[in-house]
Amino acid sequence: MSEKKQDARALPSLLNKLVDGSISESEHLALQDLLRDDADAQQTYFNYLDLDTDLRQMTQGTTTPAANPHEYQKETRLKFWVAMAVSLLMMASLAWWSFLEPSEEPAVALPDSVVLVQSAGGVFFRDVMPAVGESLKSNHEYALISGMIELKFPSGAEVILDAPTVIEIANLERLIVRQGACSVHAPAGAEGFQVITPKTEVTDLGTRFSVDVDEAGDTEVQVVEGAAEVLPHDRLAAEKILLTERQASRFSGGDSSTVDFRPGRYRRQLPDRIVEFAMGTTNGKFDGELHSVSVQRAGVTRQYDVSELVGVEVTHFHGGTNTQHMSVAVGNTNAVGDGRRALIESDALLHTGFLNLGGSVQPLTRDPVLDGSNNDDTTEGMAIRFRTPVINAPGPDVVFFELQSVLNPADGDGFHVSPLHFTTGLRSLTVMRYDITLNSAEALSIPDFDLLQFNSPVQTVSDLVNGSFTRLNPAIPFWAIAVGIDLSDLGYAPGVAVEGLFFQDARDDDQIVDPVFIAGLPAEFITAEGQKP
Amino acid sequence: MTTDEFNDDRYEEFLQHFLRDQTRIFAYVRTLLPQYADAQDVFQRCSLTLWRHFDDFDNERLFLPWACGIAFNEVRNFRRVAGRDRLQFADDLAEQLADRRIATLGQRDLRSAAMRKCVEHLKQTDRELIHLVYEEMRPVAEIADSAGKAVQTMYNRLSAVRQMLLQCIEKRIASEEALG
Repeated sequence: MSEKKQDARALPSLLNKLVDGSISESEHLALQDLLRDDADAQQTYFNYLDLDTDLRQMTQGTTTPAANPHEYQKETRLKFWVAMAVSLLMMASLAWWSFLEPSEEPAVALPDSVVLVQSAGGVFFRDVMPAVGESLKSNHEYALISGMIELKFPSGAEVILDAPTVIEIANLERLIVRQGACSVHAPAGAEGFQVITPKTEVTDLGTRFSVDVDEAGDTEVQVVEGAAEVLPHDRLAAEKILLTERQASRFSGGDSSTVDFRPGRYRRQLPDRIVEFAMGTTNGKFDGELHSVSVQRAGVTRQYDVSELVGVEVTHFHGGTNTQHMSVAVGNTNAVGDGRRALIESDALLHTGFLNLGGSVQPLTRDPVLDGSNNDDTTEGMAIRFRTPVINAPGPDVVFFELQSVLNPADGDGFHVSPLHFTTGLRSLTVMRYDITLNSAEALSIPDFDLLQFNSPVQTVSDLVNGSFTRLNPAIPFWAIAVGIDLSDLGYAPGVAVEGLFFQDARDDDQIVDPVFIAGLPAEFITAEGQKP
Repeated sequence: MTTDEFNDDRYEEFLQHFLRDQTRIFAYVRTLLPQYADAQDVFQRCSLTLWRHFDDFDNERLFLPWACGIAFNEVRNFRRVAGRDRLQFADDLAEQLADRRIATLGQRDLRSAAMRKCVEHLKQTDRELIHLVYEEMRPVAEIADSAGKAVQTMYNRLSAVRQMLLQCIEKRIASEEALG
């Protein structure tokens, strides 16, 4: 339209120089000529400035510098408010950068640092739990408020902490335990490692031992293997007390007393659980497709490729009042019937699935009603059938993934899982806390999805695969979290084949469980000793 | 007492307007003062002037055009004082830009949201460049130096990244509009 259009490439070049602050006087004049009377060029100019502003604010979070207190004495409240707005923006931008973290290189732990080896739902008070392999700060008090973590010291000493525990890494050979429980394993070469408690100093002589510190600082030491020396703080160094295998003592301000040996106090490993899972990436961003899941079963961690998992088929679905029952990939065509079912069941996408199950506060104690003359009579929840029966092996047998927004409960949405047919000894299990929660470094972000809100209540699988819906686009980030289900916790005997399960929201809060992926684990790799063949 | 209560209500009301429109007011100011630091300066003064004159604001009218009017005066004062210290747009062009900018401010939030998504799609190295330039505020020459590249190469890369982001933003907005 304009004769200036021939300079299509000149404009971006000048605008780049303008925002980079490297534009010369003559270039500035040329820019003005290009902008004058040209609506398109002016729009391009706005776009460049907006982009630059957004990039700065995304990272710096400053629309406004703090007001100079000497200039504006009377507007204190406004200044306060402006400062608040700035800090909110700043927080948003920080959160945004950390949101990118999962796809970036993990911070490489320094060779001389204390490293997080494993975490089973570990949460620190006011500190972010580092990712596995990252290091913890020295001379900084950490309060583990839930879960369990394992740390490794450069000497090779391994320490498992059980919440609630308050610790501080004094140096690379000394751990301060102010309160709580820790289990120490110092293999050969790590002798000399010390645990400092308010009333004692415990020195490892090549051993496995546990240290429990109560509110008063009283300390109980249990030696499972090898030996440890304990020096109460009010004694001379010569009065060290040697504890050997199967000995235990309690130290409370000047007194020490022998206590019963309780090997259960010592924790050899973190509990069986889903340790981590892996998703595919596209352009450095997670694409939602589950590739593998690592599960600790009977103490042994094994990675299962998604092709090894036992798929499921949804045989019953009765939703509650929230009818947002499906998530599909953005832009997915409106498949109906078996097409829609296949879409959800046959894929391993963690951002697509059946959402917002019906539920009940009380877990089932008898068989769920799956058929009824009136659909109102069937049990709220979802029944699944495994494509081949899942054998109850030691540790978790079923993996359960949920999508969760950052605004939902961090521990995951509570649910009940029940047998399809109750027989003697069988019971429901209620899961209120996932193995991988929103607080876990192992939770992974998932791509955007479309949310399908059904136009009428969904009481059957047929409603679900044929019903009409309205498409919604959630704008906030969602994450995949996961929990393992041990069939033994439902009362199944070891080795029993289980054909299906029933899931219900626990109705513990307004948030409803969203199972996007459920699968059985193969049993053949578990031997009696829980070892891989 | 009564006066205080009145002021509190009035203040709340002001914040509501200001909160909603602050990014648009800033964009407007920056259109006239493309140097970010200048725009920040004037925006800061402007936010205080807006509060001081909020009693003159007629609730029947829209806040944004009123605020932009005040911002325009603040910019004019700044331009007068800054004088020849820096490169400035001619008055006629500044007025054209100001008028057109007000008309397009509605899209501002949409573009910001789209940009955030678009940055996520950048290659790791490009994101790193954005990070160094915008977060760590490292001079481009220094980044080029530590990467062992020519300064111009680095500027070109930065320009290319901006170009990609702008194209991505347009695409996202277009597809969102298509979806309704």
